[in-house]
Amino acid sequence: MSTTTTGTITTAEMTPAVKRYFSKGLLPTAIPNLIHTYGVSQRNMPSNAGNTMRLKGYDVLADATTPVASADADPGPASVSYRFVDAQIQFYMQHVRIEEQVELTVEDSVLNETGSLLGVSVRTTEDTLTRNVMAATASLSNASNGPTSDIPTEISATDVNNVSRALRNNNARFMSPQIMGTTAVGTQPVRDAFLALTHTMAINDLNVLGDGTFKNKNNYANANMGLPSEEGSFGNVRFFVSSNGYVESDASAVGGVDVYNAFIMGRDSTTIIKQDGFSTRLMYGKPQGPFFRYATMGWKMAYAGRVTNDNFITRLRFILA
Amino acid sequence: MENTSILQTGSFTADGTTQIINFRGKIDWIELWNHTYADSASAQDKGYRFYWQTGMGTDGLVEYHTGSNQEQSINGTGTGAFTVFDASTYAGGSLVSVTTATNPGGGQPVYTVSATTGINANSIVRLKNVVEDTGSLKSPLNGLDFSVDDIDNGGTNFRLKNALMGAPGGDATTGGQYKLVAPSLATYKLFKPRTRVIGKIDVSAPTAPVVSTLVDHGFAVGDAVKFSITNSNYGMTQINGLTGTVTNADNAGYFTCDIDTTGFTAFAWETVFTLSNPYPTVTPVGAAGGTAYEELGTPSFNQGYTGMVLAGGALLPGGDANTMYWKAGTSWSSM
Repeated sequence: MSTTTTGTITTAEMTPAVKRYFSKGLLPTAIPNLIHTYGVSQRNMPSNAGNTMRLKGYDVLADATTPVASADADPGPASVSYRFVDAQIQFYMQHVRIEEQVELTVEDSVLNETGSLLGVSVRTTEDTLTRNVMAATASLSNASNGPTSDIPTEISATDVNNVSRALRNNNARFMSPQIMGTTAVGTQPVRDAFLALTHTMAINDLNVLGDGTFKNKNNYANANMGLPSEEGSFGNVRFFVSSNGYVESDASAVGGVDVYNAFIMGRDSTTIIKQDGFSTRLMYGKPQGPFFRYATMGWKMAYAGRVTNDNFITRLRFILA
Repeated sequence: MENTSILQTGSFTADGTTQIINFRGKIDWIELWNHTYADSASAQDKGYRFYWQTGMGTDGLVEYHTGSNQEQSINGTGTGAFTVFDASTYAGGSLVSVTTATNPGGGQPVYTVSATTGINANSIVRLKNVVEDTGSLKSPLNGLDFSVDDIDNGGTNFRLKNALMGAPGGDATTGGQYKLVAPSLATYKLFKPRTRVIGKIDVSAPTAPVVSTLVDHGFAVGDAVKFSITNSNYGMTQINGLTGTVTNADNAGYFTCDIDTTGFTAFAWETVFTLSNPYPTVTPVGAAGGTAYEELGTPSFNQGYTGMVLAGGALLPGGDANTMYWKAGTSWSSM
């Protein structure tokens, strides 16, 4: 049927045939900072070797400070102590299934986009698993020097320094080397440091840590040394933030408010294990079914994780100001 | 519905409490039969068939006999009867009011609450802002996770499962809430073994102390466990930093280890809240070196799963007695 217009033609009389233009430049997908694998060691489990890796660590020998005179008998043998730490490999997977008409009719490339989403998914899954591994057995410390009478309190300079001191006293080694000072205006050197992995909600509290002595990464002597997920440093700790940080809801003792966690870690505190012959992989499955209608994309990975030395990592719990 | 969509079948023995079924994949429907009630002329007002599918929320359907001639009726189960559980996405229950707390002795306070939906024997809960004494003293258990006994089969009470060294607070309670943290130990925070808060250390045998934990420990014989008690309000600070080996883990709520506590100060649990920080904890740090058998000790592993929590009761899918047979499956669209 034809439509006739008279007089001035406006969009009331002459409508576009297609009102909406689909922009194929898609909106960005929100992806959290994947910080929880920053400081972990990685090992590989050989194929055909069972499903559990046993790690072994020795404790240092006692000092031998007693002199041995010529007439003395040899000192007795030293005691050797060690520990085992076990972690079991488990398998994780996720997939999407796409019918052929979707690929034919939808304007954007659904298969490509879901492939990207799956790539993100495998990494966020690994991040969350590692976070939960650290939450399981990292030594626990409640902030106790904030202004609110609660367990825990808000995070404070004293709490961070206490954790840092305890880790150093346990002979934990720093994760990052010192950033040497330069002549650039407004910059400062950064101490060699442990890593602290925490939640983005803690940003405001971090930036006022130590009455403003928290060093934002833009003040680092070498600005290139600050990572995108890094907020800054305080004392011997560099803070990294993610919306995937660990939170315990309604868990403070007095106020019943959410408790946030910062995993403050030195080297070799946590290990993740991958399976030889089963590396993390993103896969495309050719169309299947009676009429070859369904394509699949997915990922598989093998993973195990464990805090291998709890003397080198502390889970600092705190509430927000 | 085609049988080819059945993912899994199974059975469990109903006892009136909440039941949890572990599935081997995502499901879209489940059907349960109580064979005994289906076949019994005297089983009036007792559900013999239950059905739920995606879209029904937590409310399914129940069929039951209404008379001795096996007349049938069908009703909704009410909300909370079927709860899909996925460890990947489980965020805990909603906050529920606590009305009173009593302390009948034995270090196991009992909490009366407005609802116990999803609570099962061995569920794990967390208190918020519960006041346990005359005046305004907070409960020392606030903010801490602990395992519970479902002492009245789905009623409005639960009890701290693993006795404390001393009972917290008094009887009077005003306000406060609790939330379900996990329906069971297997659904608690994914990875085990985990650090636990200590509730009691019994040194009747000083060289074999028995350690109770607020949440069931999940440890195994051969686990090396390190103690952290730095606050003298909890006593026994001499054990701080010591690592022992678990020698008996038969009971879910307590374990025995090989630390010699002779001469140690007695462990204590606060009876009133005094902001004592940090909590006494025990952390699994590996398997003891020198253990004779390589299987000793608990490897770190993820205990998460997909499943369904079934409320217990005569007209609820968890049932109140007999064997419940079930089958569950997927729909075509989600295969």
